[in-house]
Amino acid sequence: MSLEKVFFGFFVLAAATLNFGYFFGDPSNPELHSSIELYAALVVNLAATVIKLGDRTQIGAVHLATSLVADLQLIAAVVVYALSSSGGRILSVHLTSTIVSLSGGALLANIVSVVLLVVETSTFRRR
Amino acid sequence: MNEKPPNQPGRRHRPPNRVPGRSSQLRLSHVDVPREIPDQAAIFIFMRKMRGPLMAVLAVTTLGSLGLCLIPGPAGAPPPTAFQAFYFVTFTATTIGFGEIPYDFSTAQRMWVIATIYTSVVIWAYAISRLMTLAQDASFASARRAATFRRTVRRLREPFILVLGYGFIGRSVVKALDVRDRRVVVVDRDNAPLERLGTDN
Repeated sequence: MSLEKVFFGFFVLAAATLNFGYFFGDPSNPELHSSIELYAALVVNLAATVIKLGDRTQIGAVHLATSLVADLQLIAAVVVYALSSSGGRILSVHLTSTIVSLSGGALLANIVSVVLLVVETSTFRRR
Repeated sequence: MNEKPPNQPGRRHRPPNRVPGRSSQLRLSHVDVPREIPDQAAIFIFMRKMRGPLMAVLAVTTLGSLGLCLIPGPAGAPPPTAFQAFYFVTFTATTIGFGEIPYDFSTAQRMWVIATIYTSVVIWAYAISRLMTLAQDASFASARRAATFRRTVRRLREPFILVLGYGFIGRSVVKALDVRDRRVVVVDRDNAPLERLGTDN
């Protein structure tokens, strides 16, 4: 067991769970989606991306690609949120569902990332 | 494994598609002749070594913003929004310092900002110096040049003439070809004659 593997698994999983937590619920109801969770999901996703840097293997490259996709979608979601909620405005149904569906796209990428992690772990052999 | 390739600089020189009548312009770029097996390891090592500084920057930015989001402003004003806090920490950590936004801070907020400044400015300076050090690393620089060279060669879609040696004869050949708007690549074992390529006209 190495500490690096623990961090890796932690960030990949936390990115997916936080993202799911934000995404879960009626996409048109802003009450059901905490902006704090969206910000947390973005930060943890960025951390997961950084931790994936510099792996030369094929699976490492796909890991990094999924993370970059999730980052882009979450950044887009946060930008829409920050723009539309500035000055204490209440989010419209359309904007809420836009933000939630952007985070849903990121969730898909994060799920791929978790699947990769599981596959990688289950094919791992002690040598 | 890590032996340095022999210093065999090649020089690419391509006259741009010229309008007749304009003066000739030589374009110049430095490349080492790529090795047989492309060595991209240095780029991955670079990324790997940047993980620490990037993670530190991410952590200090997040914690600084989070603190600002929690501490109320003067006279019970609501704390800044997440975006305002991120904006403030960004321009403070990079020592740009636009001032206290969106209002003059309370004492509690200022205490947090002091802590944020002392940590984030140091971490940013560390990350930038690390980036500079790694970018100047010889093996990384040579890997980057080799990658650029490979990319440029792969993109070549028009025939070019290879001139070996940029001595007296080589120069006059290149000059004559340049006048005829032909693409020329000059290769020389020595760097010094090639240095002249940029200034010859």
